[in-house]
Amino acid sequence: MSDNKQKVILQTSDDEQFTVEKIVAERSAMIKSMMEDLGEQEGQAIPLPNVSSSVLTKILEYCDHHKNEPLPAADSSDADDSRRKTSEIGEWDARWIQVDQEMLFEIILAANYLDIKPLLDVGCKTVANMIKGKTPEEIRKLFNITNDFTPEEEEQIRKENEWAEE
Amino acid sequence: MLGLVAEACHPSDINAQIAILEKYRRSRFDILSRTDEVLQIRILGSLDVKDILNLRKVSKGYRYITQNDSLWKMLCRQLEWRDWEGEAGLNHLENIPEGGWEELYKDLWKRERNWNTGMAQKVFLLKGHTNYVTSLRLRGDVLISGSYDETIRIWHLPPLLTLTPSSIPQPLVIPAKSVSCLDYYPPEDVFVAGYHDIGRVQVWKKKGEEWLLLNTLSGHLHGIRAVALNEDYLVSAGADKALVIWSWRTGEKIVRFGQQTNICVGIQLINDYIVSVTVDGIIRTFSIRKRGMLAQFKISDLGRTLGGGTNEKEWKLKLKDVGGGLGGIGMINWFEGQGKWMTCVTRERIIRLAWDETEEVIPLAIPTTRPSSPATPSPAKGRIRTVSSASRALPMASTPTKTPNHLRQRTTSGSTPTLGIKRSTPSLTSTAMSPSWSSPASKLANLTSPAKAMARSLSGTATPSPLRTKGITNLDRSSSPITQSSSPRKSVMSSRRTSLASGTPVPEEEERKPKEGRKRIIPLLTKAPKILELIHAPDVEKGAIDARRTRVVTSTRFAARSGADRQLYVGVPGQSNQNRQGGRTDMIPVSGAWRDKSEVLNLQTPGKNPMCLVLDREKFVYGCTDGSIVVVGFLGHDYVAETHHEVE
Repeated sequence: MSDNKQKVILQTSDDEQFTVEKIVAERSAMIKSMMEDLGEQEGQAIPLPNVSSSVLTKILEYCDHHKNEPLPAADSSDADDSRRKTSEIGEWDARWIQVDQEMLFEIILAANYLDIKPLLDVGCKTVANMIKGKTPEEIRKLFNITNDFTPEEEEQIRKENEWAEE
Repeated sequence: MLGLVAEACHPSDINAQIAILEKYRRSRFDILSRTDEVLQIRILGSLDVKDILNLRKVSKGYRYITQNDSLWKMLCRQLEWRDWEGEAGLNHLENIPEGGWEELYKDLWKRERNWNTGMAQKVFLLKGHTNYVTSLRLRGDVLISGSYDETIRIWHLPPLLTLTPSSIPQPLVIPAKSVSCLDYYPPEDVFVAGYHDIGRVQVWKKKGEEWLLLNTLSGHLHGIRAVALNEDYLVSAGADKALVIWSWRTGEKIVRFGQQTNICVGIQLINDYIVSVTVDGIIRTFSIRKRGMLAQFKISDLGRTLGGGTNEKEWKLKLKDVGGGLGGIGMINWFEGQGKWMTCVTRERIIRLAWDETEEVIPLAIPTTRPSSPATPSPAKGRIRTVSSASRALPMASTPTKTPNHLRQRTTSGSTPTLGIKRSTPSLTSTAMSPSWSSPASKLANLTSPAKAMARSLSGTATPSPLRTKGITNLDRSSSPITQSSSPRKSVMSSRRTSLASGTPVPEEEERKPKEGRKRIIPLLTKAPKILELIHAPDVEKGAIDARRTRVVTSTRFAARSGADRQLYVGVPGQSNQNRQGGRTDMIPVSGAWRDKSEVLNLQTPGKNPMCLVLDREKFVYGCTDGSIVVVGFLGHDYVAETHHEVE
C-alpha cells in the first residue's frame, strides 16, 4: 500500500465506522495528532465520541475536496485572527455549507472539536453572514428568539448604542 | 394555537405535521446562543460593529453575548491591525482594565471618526527650537526633531489620552549642525541626521539613557537632502545629486551612486534595495548588493500601466506635468515609501503608487566585508570588517567585490574561529571573480537593461544566471572542507550548523538575523509601479502619509502675504476603502480644536508655517518656521462635526 493511500478508520458517536484516506482525515489536526500518537497500529479505529455519522459524512466531503491544499500553520497567531475579516468564503465552500441551521451548528461544533481551522472559519463566517445587515426583529425571526426586554431596557440599550449612530 | 392545528389534522397528517415542525425547528436553530464563548467571539468577530450593536437589541441573552470583553479586545485589535507588522507600538492596547475593552473601542472608533471628519481634538505646542524645524520622526512615544538651530531634540510624548502640555517632560537636547533631514530606526535605538550646508551625516545610538555619537560620515560635496536608515544600512542623498550607502555600525562607505539628474526628495530603504525619488518625478531603484541601479521610471509615463481605456487617457493627461510643468508646478515636493507603497506629491496631486511583490530567498550577508580581512574580526559585533578605502566608494573600484564573494564571506562569518574555512578564502576570492563580474560596465548594464537586472535580482530564487552559477560553484568547492553539498544555500546552512554544533560561541549578530536562506516578500523594483490613486490636494507644501491606513495630512505654505490660504488638510477615505484600487480620497480642511485654538496659539500665521509633518494613528505633528512644534491629536470627543462621513 503506497503511503498516500493509507487508510484510517474513524468511529462516530453512533458507532458507525468510516474508512477514510489518511490525507483526508489529516485535515483534522485532532485526528492527525491522534494518528501520530497511535503510531502504525493498522486497523485500530479512532473514536470520535462528539461527532455523529451524519455530520461526519458531511465533513468528510469537505475534507476530501480540500485534501490537496496545504495545511494551515499550527501556530496561527492573534495577528492572523485580526485579519480574518478580510478573507471571503470560497465558492465551493459556500455551496457546500448550504444546510439547515441545526446542521450548520453541528458542523461548527465538529470543526471546532476536530480542529479543522479553515472549516471552522467557513462555518463562523456563514453564521455572521446570516446576521449581517439584519434588523433585531429579523434576527429574532432567524433564530427563533423572543424579545424579553422591557421598554425601559430597550431605551437603555438605545442609549448605549448611541455612539455608533451619531 | 398548536392545539387547534393538531385538532384540525387528520390523524394520518400528524406525522407529516411533526416532520414539518421538526424541519422548521431545524431551520430556525439558534446557533449563536448555543455555541460556547470562544465560538461566539469567532462569529461576532467577523461582523461589523453596527451588526454587533444590533444583536444587542435582540434579547437579554444576546445582549450578554455582545458585552463580552474578549470580543471587544478582538475588535480593538482589528481596528489597529495594520500596525501589527508596522513599527508603531500597540502599547495603548496593553494594561486595559477588566471590562475596559468596549470603552477603549469606543474611543478608537471616535478617533477614526474624528480623522474622517477633520475634527482635531487637542492642539498644543512644543517649544524649544529657535530656528526652522526641518525634520521630525515619530515612533511610539518618541519624537525626534531636527532644526537649523543646530540641535536635535528628543521628546517623549505620553499617549494622547493622558497627554497635557505639562505632562511632557523636557526634551533631551543634542548639539549638532543645521539639520535638514532625519531618520530613526527604533529597533536599534539609532538615528541619523543629515546637515543642510555641509555634506555630512551623523549617527547616534542610545546607550542606557544617553545618546552617543556613533559615526560622522562625510560623503557629499554639498548639503544633505535626505537620509534613510534600516537594520544594516544608511543612505544619504546629497545636494550633489549622489547617493552614498554606508554601514551605519562601522561607518564604512559601501557604494556611491552618482550622476543623478536632479535633487533627491526622499529615499526608502527596503532590506538592501533603495528607492529614490528626485524632484523631476523620476523613481530610481538600486540594489546595494549589486552595487548598481536596477531601474528607473518616470512618473509621468506611468499612466500606461493603468487599466481601462478612456480612464487611461485621462490619467495620462493628469500625470503630464508631474516632474516639471509650467513654473515647476509638477515638481515632486515630498516622497514617502512604506513597504510596497509609495507616495509622490506635487503641489496639486498626491500620487499613490504600489509595486508588485515578489518572493526572494534572503541572501547571505551584507556585502560590506572584504575578502582580505577575515583575520580581523571586529571586536564588538563578531562580524568581519575592514574600514573602506576611499577608492571603494567608486562604482568601478567596487566591482571586484561582487555577490559571490559576499556569499562566501558570509559562509565563514558564522564560524569565525574555525580557521579551516577562512584559510580557503583568499584562493576563492580569485576564482569567484569571473571576468564578467569585474567588468566596470556592470552598473551601466543594469542601467540600460532593467530586464537583465531583474533576472539577476531574481536569480537568488529560482533561476540562477550563468554568472551566479559560476560563483556558486566556486563557493561550493570552497566550503567542501566542511561539507559536501549540492546547493549553496544548504552548504551555508550546514556550515553554520557545524559551527554551532562545535560549540562556537555565536556572535550577537548571528542571532539577530537567523533568517538567511528563508523567503521573504519584497517589492518588485524592476517593474514599473502601479498608480493606485491620484488625490487632488490643494496647494500642497508639506505632508505626511500612512500608506497602510491611507491616512494623509498635507499643509499649504503659510505665506506672509495677506489672504494666503494657511490650511491643513486631512484625507478622508472614499466609500470603498477595502478596495484601494477603486478608493478615492478627498482632502478636507482640518478643523475642530485646531481651528478653535488658531487665534490663541497663532497657528495660522507665517511663523507657524509647517516645514515637516509626521503622523501616527492618533495625531499629526508638524515643525514650524519659528521653531515651535505643533501636536494635533484626534483622540477625544470634544469637537464633533455636524455632518460627517460614515466610518467604515
